[in-house]
Amino acid sequence: MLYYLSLNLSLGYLRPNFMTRFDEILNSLTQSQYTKNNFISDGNQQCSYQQLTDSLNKLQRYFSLQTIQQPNCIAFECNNTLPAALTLVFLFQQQQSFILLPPAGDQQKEPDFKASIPLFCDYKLTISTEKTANFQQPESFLRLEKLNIDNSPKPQLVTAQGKIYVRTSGSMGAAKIIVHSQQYLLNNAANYAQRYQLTSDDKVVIPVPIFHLYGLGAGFLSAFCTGASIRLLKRTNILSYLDMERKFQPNVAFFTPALCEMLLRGRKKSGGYRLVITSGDRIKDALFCDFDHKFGTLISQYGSTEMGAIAASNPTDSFQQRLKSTGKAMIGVQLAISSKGELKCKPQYGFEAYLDSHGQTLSNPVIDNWFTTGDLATINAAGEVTILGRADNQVNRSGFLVMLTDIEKKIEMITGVSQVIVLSIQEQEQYGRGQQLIAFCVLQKKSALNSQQIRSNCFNILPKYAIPDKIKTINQMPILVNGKIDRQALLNQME
Amino acid sequence: MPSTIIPILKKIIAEELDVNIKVEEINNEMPLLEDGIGLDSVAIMEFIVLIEKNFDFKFSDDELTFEPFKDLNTLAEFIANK
Repeated sequence: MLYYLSLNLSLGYLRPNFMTRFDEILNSLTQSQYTKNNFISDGNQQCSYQQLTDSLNKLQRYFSLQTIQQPNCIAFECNNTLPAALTLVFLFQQQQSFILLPPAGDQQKEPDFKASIPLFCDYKLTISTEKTANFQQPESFLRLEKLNIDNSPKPQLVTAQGKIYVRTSGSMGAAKIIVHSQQYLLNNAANYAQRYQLTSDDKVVIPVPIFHLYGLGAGFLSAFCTGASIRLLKRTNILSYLDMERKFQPNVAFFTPALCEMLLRGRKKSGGYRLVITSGDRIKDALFCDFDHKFGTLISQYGSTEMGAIAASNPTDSFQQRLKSTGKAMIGVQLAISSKGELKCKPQYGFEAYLDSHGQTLSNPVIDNWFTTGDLATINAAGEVTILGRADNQVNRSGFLVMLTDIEKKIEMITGVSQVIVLSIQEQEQYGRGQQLIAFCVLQKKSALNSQQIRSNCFNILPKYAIPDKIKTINQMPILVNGKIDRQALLNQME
Repeated sequence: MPSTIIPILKKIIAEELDVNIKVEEINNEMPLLEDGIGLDSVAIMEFIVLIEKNFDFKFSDDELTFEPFKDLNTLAEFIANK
């Protein structure tokens, strides 16, 4: 199904319906009276949709002067700035294939970054963060570098046009490269825009990285193809966020649970948001309730790097529906629960393949286009999905199946404990007990609890087989740039 | 008085925030954010909460800007005027 922007005359704004090609979206945005004065901004500079055509032409001139031949795949080190966003739009317009990478400064925070730039990339594109970067002068913010590549014939999937490659964020294990078509990513974005009921009247702030698919697909592209005004924010903290709010006055925001918590603690005034979308790790019920009550409608969305948009709540769903589920399946997505309780998904706009660094296709155990998400979930009669936790977070202890998220929830109920992540260590399987469990606990401020006390408390609230073997108190959870908890970093702390 | 406030702020940073720095390593002109003491988003939020508790006042939303958090001198001056 293709999408296009349609004008809703009665309401007087644009809203993405059935989209055609990216250049047609660009045409509507730059010319419609409802969008042409809307803009994309990073706080330092802003570009109206009307100015887009000119900016994209300048980018084209820059590229034609820099490259001798049409690149196959560009390694694009993206960041949350206007120049980077315009470059993204340009790459989509040109159907230039690229791999989306974090900016160099953030790369060491990601696991396994050694293998960052795949060997099939022939150019590297970086965005300057200097103050002199002017979005109307590509040479002031872009650096295109030819990479040394071997000239052996490349697999078709890495020479094709219109692809976007993404490394799996890999909160566990090694990273792979995922191939998407740019058109599918746009279709996913339009699907999101429709679910969120975005319009060109919205002012959307994106403080999550646009070099991850949540920030790019659910956030930036869905707001962009709606013609909403967009404010990108990098290095988000409470000061930069409140500063942005005063100037931009957003009514829609793309958050993670950590950002929800930041705003709840840091901002005194209530209200202001039509809609806040959260994604990533599960959000605690108390945080969801307090945030929704104070600032406006909060919804969670569920997607994956491989399968794109899977489910999201609707802003018009009741509070209880939004609290208890991540909403219904996106249009065109079929969902089912496997016999083991895992959520299975047949997406309309899913990924094409897994690749290794040479561009060779990795095997992918998929039957009839049904993918296993690896998450345990339930679907109620109305079709609303509730994600329970990672399926691989289910371990066998003394013959009992234990869900690690259940243990986490129980320990979080101990007075003085704020947040808990339980991990299992397979290598240290103990005789008769199953895998060893370690609970990482962040304590509430001023809490004087120690590991021993938490563990003795566990004996009152958990069955013997579910009591973690070790409790470790930590100051804060290590967070990946995509907002998820860095489980690998937690495990490393045990070594 | 800013001169009595600064030692308290230094103690908060070194002992209560998750920052790897000692009291004697902090000087009054060091930027609090990125290139100086390097308080990250979580640490800034904690710092604000602890300042409010220690000095018994609340920042209004409009006071939470980069200006008072430039360095310890500026911050102490701001707190002294509350």
